[in-house]
Order: sequence, then C-alpha cells, then structure tokens
Amino acid sequence: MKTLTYKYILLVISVALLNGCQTLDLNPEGELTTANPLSSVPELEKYVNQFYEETFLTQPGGMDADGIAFLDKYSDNMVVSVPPALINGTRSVSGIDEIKEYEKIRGINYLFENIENCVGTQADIDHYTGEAHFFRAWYYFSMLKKWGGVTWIEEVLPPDAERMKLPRDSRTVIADKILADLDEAIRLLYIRDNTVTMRLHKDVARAFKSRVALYEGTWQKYHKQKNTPFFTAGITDDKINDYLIQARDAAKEIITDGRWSIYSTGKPLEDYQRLFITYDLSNNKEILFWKKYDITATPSVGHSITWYLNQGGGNVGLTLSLVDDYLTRDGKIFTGQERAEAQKTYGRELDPELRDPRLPQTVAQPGARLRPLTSSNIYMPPFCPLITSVTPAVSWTNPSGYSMLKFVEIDCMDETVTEDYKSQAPAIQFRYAEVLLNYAEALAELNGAGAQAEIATILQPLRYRVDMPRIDFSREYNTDSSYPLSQLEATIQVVRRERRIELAVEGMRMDDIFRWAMADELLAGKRPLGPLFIGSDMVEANVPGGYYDGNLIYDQASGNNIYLSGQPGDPLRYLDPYKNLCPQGLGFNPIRDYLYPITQDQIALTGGKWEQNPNW
Amino acid sequence: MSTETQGSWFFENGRDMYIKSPGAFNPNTTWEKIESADIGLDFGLFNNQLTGSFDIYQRTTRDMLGPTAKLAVMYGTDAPKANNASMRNRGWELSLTYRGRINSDISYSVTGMVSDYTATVLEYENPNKYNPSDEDVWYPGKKVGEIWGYRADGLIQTQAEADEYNKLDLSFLTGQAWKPGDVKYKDLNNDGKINNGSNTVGDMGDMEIIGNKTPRYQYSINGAITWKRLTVSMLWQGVGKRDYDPGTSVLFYGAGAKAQVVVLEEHLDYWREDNPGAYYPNPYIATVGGFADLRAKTMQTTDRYLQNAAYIRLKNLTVSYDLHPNWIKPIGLQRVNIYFSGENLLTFTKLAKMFDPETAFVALEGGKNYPLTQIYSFGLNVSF
Repeated sequence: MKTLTYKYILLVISVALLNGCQTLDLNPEGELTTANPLSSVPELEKYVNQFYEETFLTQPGGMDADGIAFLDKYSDNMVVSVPPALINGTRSVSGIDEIKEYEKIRGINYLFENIENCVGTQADIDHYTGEAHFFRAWYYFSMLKKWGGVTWIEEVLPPDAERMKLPRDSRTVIADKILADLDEAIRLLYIRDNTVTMRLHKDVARAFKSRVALYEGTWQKYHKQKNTPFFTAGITDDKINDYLIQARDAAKEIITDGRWSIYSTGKPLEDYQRLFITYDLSNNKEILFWKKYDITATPSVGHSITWYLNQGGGNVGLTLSLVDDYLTRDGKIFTGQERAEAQKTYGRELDPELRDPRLPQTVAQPGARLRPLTSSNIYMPPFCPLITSVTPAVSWTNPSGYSMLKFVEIDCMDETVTEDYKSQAPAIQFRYAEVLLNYAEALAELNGAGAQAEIATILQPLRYRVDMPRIDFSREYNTDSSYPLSQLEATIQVVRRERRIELAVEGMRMDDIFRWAMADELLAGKRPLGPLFIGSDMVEANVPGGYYDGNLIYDQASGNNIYLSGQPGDPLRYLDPYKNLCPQGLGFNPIRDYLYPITQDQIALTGGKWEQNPNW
Repeated sequence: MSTETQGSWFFENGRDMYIKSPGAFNPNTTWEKIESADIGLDFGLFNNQLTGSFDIYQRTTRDMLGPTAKLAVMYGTDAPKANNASMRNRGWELSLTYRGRINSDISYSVTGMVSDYTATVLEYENPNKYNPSDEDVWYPGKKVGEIWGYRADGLIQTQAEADEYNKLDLSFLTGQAWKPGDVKYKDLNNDGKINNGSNTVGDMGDMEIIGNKTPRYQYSINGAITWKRLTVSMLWQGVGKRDYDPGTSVLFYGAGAKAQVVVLEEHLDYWREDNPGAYYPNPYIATVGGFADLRAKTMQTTDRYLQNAAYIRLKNLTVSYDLHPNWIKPIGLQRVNIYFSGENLLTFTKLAKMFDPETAFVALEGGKNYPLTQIYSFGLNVSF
C-alpha cells in the first residue's frame, strides 16, 4: 500500500511537471519575432517607416557634402573648392564604395514574402504595400543611374553562394521592372491633395514614374544617337518611344487630376525664393512630397546650408554658364551688346529688370538680403567674397564669384546663422514644376515642333509666377555656334533651358547631362567660369581701401589666390576657379565616366557573371 | 526584428517608431573551446639567491565565431556567422630574481621578466585569402597584427622625377598626377602599375608585409637596493619590438581634412624646394569630400612612415627612508617612513613624438590619445 501511494504521488508530480513543459516555449514579450511577422497593420506601417529614413535626398550638413543644394557641383551649374572626382575623371576602382541598395531591397522583399500574414483593413494594407513597391523602385532606379543594369532580385535570398552567380540584367529589363513596380504603387497608394500625412501617395508615384521613364527614354535615345558604350544594344526606336510615352502619360495623369498647381501669391520677385525656405509645406499646392527639418525638436534635425551660405561664400559658387542661360526680362537670349554692357558692372546682369526674375532669386545680387533683419551684415556686399580678407571679413570664400541664394533662409532664428546643423529649409523631393517639365520634355521628344503650342500652354504657370512672357520657340532659340545646345532642334533646346532654369541647383542637372549624353560637350575638357573680372569694376575694387583691399593676387609665379581665363593682357578675362587644378579642363572620360565601376570582389563573388562597366 | 523609437523623418504626428528588417542568423552557434598545453620549470639556485621560472605554452582556441563565405552584394545583408574559425597562440615567459647581500647594511634584489608570444590564425572562412591588408580581415595563416604596406623610395624631388614617375599606371591609387614632394611607391613586381594586385595573398601587387603590431619581447626589470634604512627601487618596463602604422592619422602627418588639422612643430619638416631632405611629404589640406584623392599620393601605408614603437620606460622610482627607531619610539610611533616616488619618469623610444607608445594603440582613430602622465609624489607612512 505504501509503495502504491508513493508511486501515485510520483505520477501526480510528473504529470504536473510535464504540463509545465508545454508553457516553456514562449515568444519574447518585449520584442517582435520573426514567427508570423507583419501580422497587423500597425506592425506593417512601422516596418515600412524604416524606409523613409535613409532613402530620400536630404540637404547637406557639411561643407562639400552631398545633399540637394550641393549636388549640382557634379555639373556645369556649380563650382566647389576642388573639382569633384566624378566629373574630373579621377575616381579609382579601389576607392569606390560597395553597392548598398540591395540591403534595403532585401528588407522590402521580406515584406512582400510575409504580407499575407497581415490582417486588417484591406485599403490600408494595399497602401503600405504600394509604399513598398515605390521604395523598391526607388532603390533599383538609384542603382540603374549609378551602375546601369544590375541583377533584379525579388525574393529574400538564402545564404547560398551558388544562388548569387547571376549575370547583370540589361538596362531595359531593370527599367521595365521599375516601371512595373511603380504601376503597382500607383494602383495601390491613397490619393492625397496635400502632404499633411508626410507619407507617399498616388501622385508621388506618378511623378516618380514620369521621372524614371523620361530618364531611361532619353538615356537610351541620346546614347544610341552618339553611339556610346552605354545604351542597350539592339534597342528599337519603338521601345525608346514607349518609355517617353509612359513618362508623358504619368505626368499627364497628375496634370489632368488637377490637385496640384504652381505656387504663386502674385509677387514675382519673391514667390520663387520663398518656396524653398518655407518651413512647413504641408498645404502648399506645388509640393507633392518633401522632407521636414525641425531644430526645435529634441533631438533636433537640421542641416547646414544657411550656416555656410549666409555671407555670400560657403565654398560653393554658381557658374557663368548657368547665369548666361537665363533669358532677358522680355524673353530673349541674353547676348551681344546688352550682355557686354551688363557685365561691366558686377551684379548688373543679375538685375530682375534686365533678366528672368528667377535669376536674382537663385543667385545673390549685391544688396540682396542674406540674413534676418535683426542680424548684422545683412546684405550681400557690392562684390563677391573671393577671399576671406574683405570688408566685412567672411569665414568661407566663394570660389566662382556668383553667390548662391536659393535655400538661404533670410528670416530665421539666430542659431540658423551662427551654428551648423541648425538650418531648416525643407528638402523638396517632388514638386509640380518638375511634373510639368517632364511632360513638356516627353512631348518635345515625341512630337518635336508639333508639340510647341501645347508645351507653351503647359509651362505657362512657370512663366506667370515670375511675370515672364509666354514661351516663344523662335524668340528663345539660340543658334549661336558657341552655345553648346545650338545643334538641337528648337523645341528641345527651349524645354531643356526652361528645365535648367526652373530646377537650378536642385540636384537634377547631373542626371540631366548624363541622360542627354552631353557630358562630352559640357564637362570634358571644359572648365566652369565665373563673372567677368578684367573688363569689369571687380578689378577696380582690388585696390587698397576697396572691397578686396588689394589682396587679390593673380598671374604671379606663385601665391595666387584667384585665377583668370585667357592670358595677361587680354581685354576680357573671366574668373576661372579650376584653372590651376585642371589646366587641361575637367578630366571626364566620355567613354567611361557615365557609370560607376563595379568593386573588384563582386566580380569574383558572382562567379565572374557580373561584368565590369565599359572601360573601367 | 529590432525597433527604433525615432529617426529623422517627421510624419504627421512627429517622428514615429520604425521596425528594421531582420538580419540573417545561424541557429547552430555554440561555445568556443580552448585547448592549452604548458611546460614550465621553477628553479632556485645558490641557496635560493637566484630563483626563476620559465614557461613555454601553446593555446589553441577552436570553434570561434567567424563569418561564412562572403556573399555577393545582392544578398543584401551580412552572411550569418558560424563556428568555423580557430587561432593558436604560442609563447614563453622567463623570470629571474636575484637576491643578494653585500654586507650587513646593504642588500639588494633584482628581478627581470621577459615574455613573448605570437598568434596565428589556423582556420578562417577566407579561402582566397582576400584583402589581407585590412586589419579586421583574417585568413588562414595570418599572423595576428601583421601590417601590409608599400615600399617607399623617398620623396619625389624634381618635376622631371615626377614626370618619370607619372609614366607608371597610378590610376588604382588616384587620378591625380604626382608632383615634387609626394611619396614614391616602389613597383616591386615591375608590372608598370602601383596597385595591390588581385588583393589576395600570393598576388598582392606592390604590397608586402612590412611589420607587425603585436608587442614582442615585453620585459620588465625591477630592482631594489637597501642601505641601512634607505631604500631605492626602480621598475623599468618595455617592449622589445613593435611596429605602429599611423595610417592616415592627421595627428601624425599634420595634413588632412580641414576641420581636423592641428599643426605641431614636427610637422614643419615637410618637403619644400628649400627643404628637400624633409621627412614629411606635401601636406595636403582639403575639404572632407575632396581630400581622399590627394592623400592617396602621400598617406599609403609604407615602410617610410611605419613607426618603431619599441620602448623602455622608467615606470616607477621610489626612494624611501625609514627613520631610526631611536627617534620615533620615544614618541610612541612604531615606524615612520618618508618616500619620494615618481611614475613614468623617463621614456626612451623611437616612436614619433606626438604618440605615446603605450596609449597610441588604444586610441581613437589616428593614435589620438593622451600620453601617460608623469606623477611625482611625496609621502609619509606612520605606524602607531
């Protein structure tokens, strides 16, 4: 009897213990697990939130950093202290960073593989899935621009080296898949007519689609025309036109839906400038998508543009090529006697009575306000600070002689002017002006002169904002042989100029030059110039007591602090900031430098299937 | 999947939480295992006046976590780790102590210790032995601490020399042309290019192993001598052989990205036409974005700027005096001892003066660290 009770007690105890074993497998309570991930809409939303972080373009935090305002240094719009390696042909295979975009793509593919777990309102699930399609398209487009065709991956790969021995897909394959992803995004995203939610929406996907399709269509068209190594071999004109048609139609949908319009309050000399320094753009009808900065938050999020540019310097300057391209106030080419006269006085060529009012709102005229009224040294001095020892002294010089005014916050808090990482000008990602310009360019490429009437109507809001006359293709066609675009047909030349002027220093110019295959004419062997020096009143300010106080030194054997074009004794000499650093002109190699090189190890790791880009 | 509470994107209601995609993981990870073998000898001679010990050992660590084979960039994350690495340490230690007495008043003792070790990687997932010059990269057979670099052939002195040198294919390093004052790197394999070959051991182009940063033959000598009630003791410590690679240290070169440069007196010995025998090359200073192309001409790791970090340092010197018992017993004290002691008093090293041989290796980037301080102290010990 005793043994029986004993065994019975043992039985009870062991049953109790075994029952306890069932509850030993628990999911961690404070963390998310990879068992049944993305099971609810909030979890899905927070998962997609990670892609907002490092994807979109930001404004620069450091001098010479990349960022929307300084990206034009890779083009003929902007000069910095040292010619950037990308346009000077001095990149080396060993110095290139590895491709990072696939890390984000893996995260997005993980979402697509687990999206069936999600339970919730279908419209919400669709919207976040649409955002994921947009982001995947974004990262593949980033790789397409830098490297050309890469391998399309749409699943989460296992860690098996054999699975990665895949060749690169051609440009057209990648571009088609990007556009398919964007079509899905357009189908799934919510419609919005303002940016209060600060999330993606249908019209952003359409705008991005018009950007991608226009890029690829013009890239293939012009690289094929010039027979560079960079177009997809065997591409047909129909295929090229198909891209342009997609660009045109995506932009057209935005225009027809009529939710957006060009920002204008009836002040042609201020509206354009104000648009870029308004801190809250959530109800601005021109801005489809933007990144907000806020230095009053904790921790603060800010950048440094105003800190560098508020004295007319900042180690960035704009170029003569850009300044010359703006039309006169009555819509004619700025050339001949009128130009020669204006250049004799520094800053006269920037006057809004003489030129397109967008010019003095992009480049600072003498007397333009650079700082808040409560500050000191508020206005742009009579000349540009080419050296630091001027009156009043500046912290950073201007390398070219034309000071940048776009993005400089002229009514701001004190710390914006005195500290770095305290600027708040927004980082605009997509605006309606770009949509109109994409549409106009697609029309021009498809229909040529037949599209002129429609283009003039479509772009009229841009002219109206700054009180400029309507586009006239014959009045604005520059046939002078020294103008690099003079060989182009009038419709295309005019549209390209309008794009350069409207989107100046917004980071679009390098992509434009590359897709038009014009780097051989605009960059290779050329140097950007600044304003006229010998022949204008700038040289007269270089005397003791003048603005430069006699401190500008040029044409000496050593110790020069500025460089001029031409030879000593020439009657007209312009500032030539890169003259000493690249005496033969920029070293851009047109058969190689349109694309980045692939890093050495990737060719081995893909079993030799990935080929190096041409001529690297 | 880890979470972050806020990034830098302002959503409608301010910054929002976001969840990051999960990385790859290996469910089979386990502990490291260590095997060690040691032979030692402790001895005492001459009636224990001379005592010492000698040890020789080998320690092998197995099943260390190491990476699995690197995967192509399209994988999208780092490959998961596995227990596939092992490393072997071999070393020896010798210590000798001699105690002596000259007469009833003077006694002394001296202790010397010397030790040395080397470590070699036995197994690691890097079958091609790719990228050995990176100090965080391992390959089977790598001696821990090895430094890869170019051999330098002095500085370019004239433009003619620069033009001659520019005929080589230097595009791997930079697109900038060499000019007088830049460092000339030797083309060891005579292929007309300066590069690192295919960046695998066995084909490293013009790079080779130029040193090792493991401290070798670490030694210390300490001794004390007592005469009546006065004692003097010293501790010397040092490292017999060690190399330090300053890399692109701004503190070492006095040139770099604009915001970082601080010019010290040593930096003024840079190449100029009136200073052709200078130690330092052209001091390039540029913005962070523009600097990399220029420093490729002067700041590659070479034997010219590889530093000898061997040193010997007087770590401690103590002079102490015990007062005579006849003076203190009447006061009721048992022992009064006055001492002066100093630490880090003398250092002899060939290392560049802006670095401290003990702290340069544990610094933030570029050897920037405070040197050890010299400390002088006086004291009084009283026992009741």
